[in-house]
Amino acid sequence: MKNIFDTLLLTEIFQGLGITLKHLFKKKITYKYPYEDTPIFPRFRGVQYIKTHENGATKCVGCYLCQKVCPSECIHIVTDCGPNGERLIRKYEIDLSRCIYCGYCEEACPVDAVHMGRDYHTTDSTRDNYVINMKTLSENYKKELANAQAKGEQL
Amino acid sequence: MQNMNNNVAEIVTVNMGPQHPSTHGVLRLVVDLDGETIVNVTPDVGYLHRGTEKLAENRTYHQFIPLTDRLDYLSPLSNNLAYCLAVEKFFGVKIPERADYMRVIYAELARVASHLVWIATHALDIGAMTVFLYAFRERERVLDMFECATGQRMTSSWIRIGGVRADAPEEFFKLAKDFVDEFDGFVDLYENLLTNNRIWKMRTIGIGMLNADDAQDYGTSGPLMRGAGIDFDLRRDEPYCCYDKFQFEIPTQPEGDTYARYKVRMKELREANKIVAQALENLPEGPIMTDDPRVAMPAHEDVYERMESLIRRFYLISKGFRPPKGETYQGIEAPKGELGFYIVSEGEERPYRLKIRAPSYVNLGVLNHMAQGHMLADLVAIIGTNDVVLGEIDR
Repeated sequence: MKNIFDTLLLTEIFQGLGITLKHLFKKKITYKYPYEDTPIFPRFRGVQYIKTHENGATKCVGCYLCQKVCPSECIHIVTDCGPNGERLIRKYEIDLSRCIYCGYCEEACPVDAVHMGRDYHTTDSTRDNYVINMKTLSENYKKELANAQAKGEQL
Repeated sequence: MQNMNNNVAEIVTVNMGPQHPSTHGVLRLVVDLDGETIVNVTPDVGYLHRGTEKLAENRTYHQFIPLTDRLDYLSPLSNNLAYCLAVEKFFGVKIPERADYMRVIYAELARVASHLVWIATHALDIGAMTVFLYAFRERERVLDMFECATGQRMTSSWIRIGGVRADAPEEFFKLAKDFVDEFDGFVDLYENLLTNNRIWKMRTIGIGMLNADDAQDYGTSGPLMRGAGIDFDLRRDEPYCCYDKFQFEIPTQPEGDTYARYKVRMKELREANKIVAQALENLPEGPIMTDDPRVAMPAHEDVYERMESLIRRFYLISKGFRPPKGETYQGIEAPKGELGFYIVSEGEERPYRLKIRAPSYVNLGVLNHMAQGHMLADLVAIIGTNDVVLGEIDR
């Protein structure tokens, strides 16, 4: 009897449509990705940045620890001896096409210089652009700092 | 055409995969068919081979952790845990209680995430699309939690030899508590959609039979074994971390078919959730990294302030950990079964040999036995119930 009743009045279809209607007014859980960014958490490990001192000089001291610990061997450093015996960083490059964003460089750094940023838009058309140097890394720091200040967070 | 007149069945060999969507990765199956009945299935593995075991011989113990993420990529934190436990066994380090609890939380959330992908894809393969959407919605929340705590959704590399890299932020505990409270309702939802569903029952009951003796002989582990009625779980039988402090049940089903394994995994979801709830409730305060100087990376604050910590950090990174000569094996109950790391050390900073006992690889061996005599369409259900991940099989 109940079966006939259900069949005639299409109760199950209305039940199903009810669920659809309920979901229509719920908060959406998807994002239109290329047009809007998905929210990320503060700990997100994205493209690296290197902190600078107040006067703009890099905090990096060229100790090679990040190069040593990197499991994918994507960091290349060349240092030189300056006129007063100080260490100069001639080259500091991160090959983003090799980087696996494990955060080991950040963990290894003894002077609070290299950090994992929050930028994950790393698409590019040539391989050369994936190799970022100290200049870009310092610029990344400025960008990250500005973003963090806009959100009222600390880096 | 030649055989049309006599009744001798012709065996046709067809190729399934490696690009087939329901082979869950790059699994290639060579299937011998008699009509639509499966005579023989030969899995052809190796399409995703990256030489992880060989790479381990050229990496320090610390550097190998990110590579373990890429084994069973659906539960990276379980792999991290198994590897770190194996290395810790060499040194005999004592892990702080809070680190143990955090490891349990991460491992059980990884189990939830892995099983959610399993129920989603398994149901999708059989034809229930709705479950896929709901399960992935919840998995997204687990991955968000991982991102909040570890910085990455899937390749987390967060568990370290000697503890956990850093304490989880407050936000993680808030997200986890909310999730744990609601999760039983979500499992109810999936069960509502599937458990008494007539089509689901027809597609799963009696399919892919595996009895207890065969499960043991083939060396299977995990839900595949418990679905065949064998009560075996490393979390209870050889407790690691601090699993002996938690109250949980090991679900088993005696039937040994696809439906039984479905039920086992659904119960495991609830049990994993129960363990996370207990761990969150009883989470002790304290350090999350051991202070054993042989393995513990000193904290950042110490390195900035103290010379000794700075030297230790330089030493640990440039020289690495040097375990004593010997060999060790540590297995954990990963979502797919027993995941074990066997390491031979020659007293150097890198392993002399590292062997991974991947549960999926062993479980895949039983596929032929389970599939024989079934229809070709059921093969999809049998691969689904096997729950293999190719990153782990090919390594």
